[in-house]
Amino acid sequence: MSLLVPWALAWGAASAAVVILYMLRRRERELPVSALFLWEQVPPDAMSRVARWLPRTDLLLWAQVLTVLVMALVLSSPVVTRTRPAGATAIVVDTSLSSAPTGRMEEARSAAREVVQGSAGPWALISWGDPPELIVRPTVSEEEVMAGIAQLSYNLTARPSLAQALALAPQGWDRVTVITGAAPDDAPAEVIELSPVDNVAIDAFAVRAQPDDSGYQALVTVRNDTPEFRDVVVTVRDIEGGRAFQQARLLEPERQDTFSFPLWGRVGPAYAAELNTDDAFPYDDVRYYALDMPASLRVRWIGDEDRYLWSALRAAAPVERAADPPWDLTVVVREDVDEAVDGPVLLVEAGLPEAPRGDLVPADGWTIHRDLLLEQVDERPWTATAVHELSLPEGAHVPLKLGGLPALARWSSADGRRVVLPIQLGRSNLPLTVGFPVLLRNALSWLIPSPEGATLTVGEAMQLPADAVIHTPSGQAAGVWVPQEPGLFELSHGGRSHYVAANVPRVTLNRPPEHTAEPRAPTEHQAPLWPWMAAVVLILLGGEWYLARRSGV
Amino acid sequence: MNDVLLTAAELRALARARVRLERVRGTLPGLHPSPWAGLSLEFADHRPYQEGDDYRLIDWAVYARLGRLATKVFAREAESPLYLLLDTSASMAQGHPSKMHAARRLAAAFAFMAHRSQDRFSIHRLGEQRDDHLSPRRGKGALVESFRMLSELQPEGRRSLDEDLLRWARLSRAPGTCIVLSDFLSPEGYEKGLAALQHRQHQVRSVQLLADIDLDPPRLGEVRLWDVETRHSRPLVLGREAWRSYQEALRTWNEGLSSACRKLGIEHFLFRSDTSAVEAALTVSSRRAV
Repeated sequence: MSLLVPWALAWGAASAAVVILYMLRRRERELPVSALFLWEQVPPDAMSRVARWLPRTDLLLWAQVLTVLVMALVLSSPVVTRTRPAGATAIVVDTSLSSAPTGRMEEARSAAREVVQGSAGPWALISWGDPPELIVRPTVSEEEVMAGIAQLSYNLTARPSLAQALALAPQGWDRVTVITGAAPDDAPAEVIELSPVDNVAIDAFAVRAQPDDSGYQALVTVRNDTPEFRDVVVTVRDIEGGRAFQQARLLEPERQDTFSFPLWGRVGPAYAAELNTDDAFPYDDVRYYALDMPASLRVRWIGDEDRYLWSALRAAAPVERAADPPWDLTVVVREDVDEAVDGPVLLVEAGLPEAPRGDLVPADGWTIHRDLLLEQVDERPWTATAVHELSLPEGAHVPLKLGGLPALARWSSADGRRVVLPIQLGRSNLPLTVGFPVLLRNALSWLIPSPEGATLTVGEAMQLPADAVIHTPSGQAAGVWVPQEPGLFELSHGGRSHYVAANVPRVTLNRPPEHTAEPRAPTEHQAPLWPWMAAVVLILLGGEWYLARRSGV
Repeated sequence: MNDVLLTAAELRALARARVRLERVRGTLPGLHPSPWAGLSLEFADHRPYQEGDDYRLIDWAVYARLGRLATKVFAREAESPLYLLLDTSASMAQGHPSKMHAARRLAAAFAFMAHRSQDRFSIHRLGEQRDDHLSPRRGKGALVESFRMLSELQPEGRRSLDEDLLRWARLSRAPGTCIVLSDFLSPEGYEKGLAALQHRQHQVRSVQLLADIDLDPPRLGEVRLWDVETRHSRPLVLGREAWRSYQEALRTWNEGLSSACRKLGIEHFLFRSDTSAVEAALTVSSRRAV
């Protein structure tokens, strides 16, 4: 700042002109009185011009002089010198899933603002998410950086390496500041660590076949990232069947544990594992898993109609009759099929070329060998009087015999799995018992294994088949689909529907920096003062206007 | 000006006050003890029976004991009319608060006290050509009407206090108590008017109200003084000396007023316009005229 600026000098001199004009101005003030006749007895004061003028000085004069002087200061371009810890600063704000806990993004914005206010600039602002993004290019405008900071928001994806983010602003910076809650190992930059978050999370969730092929189980791994013991309740829900399995356990601090849920009966196409916590990071409190399994089984029916059998099948699993392929299951009733059948087959008093049906022979007395087909089945009330003779292939399991003849058998062939029930159902009470649909459900679970389906992470692209359409809350998608949020999404393809599960990636929320770069030496920054002084001038002008109005000038 | 002349608290403070009177002139019953005998319930004295006295007033017990007739005499309580004379010239608008505002509140206070004493009262705007309120009245209706009239009073014009008082004295009939509320800054004087009121058998009290600008004018230096009534003006350098001279002139004027009142037997009061109306009214009402 220098008052030697010509315009500033001129304005400063104008204040003297204001005072001189004020002194030269002769204006008597009017004073109304009640009794002039009393004043007529008063001799006038004999005062000099200056003495007359002095009592007339008022606030308006001082306001005018002050206004002129402040305007002279404005013209002299005043600046204030501030010392700031650094000059050019690149600010990298973690906007990945690890910034999603409640309040953490606002804390990151606040930290970024403090970095801007504490440095002289220029600045660059980088959003460290997937993909990393240069929010504000290198600029000296503090307002632009602040506006960019206000725009920052997290997404539900994992973050790439810090090098990829820093590559967006390759200039040489005095200071590179990374604002994150989970610092990368050996970060080549100064790290501002955000407040740690207590979190209990589902780390992993999967549904898989039991090793002995006796059914399915759901495995849920839960991690307790808090310094205290936590009671957790894990619930696994069958999305289609509506069944729920629940377990509660006490988790030690900073430990993880695995919950195993045997899924009895026919496995569903999609499951969700839920955690009963109320922490600041809800995204990892639920995870989804999908099996590559249709929502309902398309059944090819060959042979006689049997409404008891069909009712029991409908009770065991969602099934629908289909005249055209593809079929998930072939049911043959009281008929000998001469040709090979692809896929799983349920034979009821029927035969295949690999297991031809024989004559019906009277039989009595059950012989039982425990098998997965008889899981949770009570066979004691069953009665039967006849059974077809069968020629079973090698390796067939026969868990039930009637009078020494196979009454229930299963085997695997090159064309698929088979279950045969050669009992004469018309002369048996088997279709009328509670155990019959349970038997059929066990048979279907074995006949139609459920392979793993598509389980993606948010942000991971999926190439859909040509005629496939996926249904999301925001509409249908085809071609390449990238899930933007966790959930179970229905995929329609070739007249059939499947589920695709999308989960948030596994992230580390809290990790202190192991090593960070030190901030650079302080630098000086000059901030202009003229906007503030111009505001003072405006206020003074308003005050002058008020005084002038009040004094009736 | 406030919409309410007197607040509820001020009215409560005035409720038990009475205007103390030297002479009770009224003929109607009231609460002031009258020197004349009357027919109230309060026994006063005996006097010898005179021909024509009411037989019912003869005290037969005295006759039995003394053997001569004596008539009972009872005390008399009468009312006294109160006339409030307000100067409404333009000079009364001066000051913060204005003298007119103080006069309004003071007149309202006196009217309320008269109402509580069951006295008749009337409020007169000096110089009014048509004075419909010449006859005093009493009662709640008269009080309400008086307050309304006071609220509507506006100072204006130039008046001669002397002439206005003379004119009012000529028109007045029943003698009573006159309270003159004015700044008494009338170059034409006031003595004749006050004397005329005394001549009409009124008990007069002069209440002079002066504003801050009258008592302590600001020393503004070079000023042009103008009279709010005559509109005449005079340039003046208003400094310390001029201020002192004015104070001296005002003191002389006020002493002249006080002296004139003393000669006429009139009680004189001087109040600033920012004095509490209750305090001023109680001061005026509690002192008997000499």
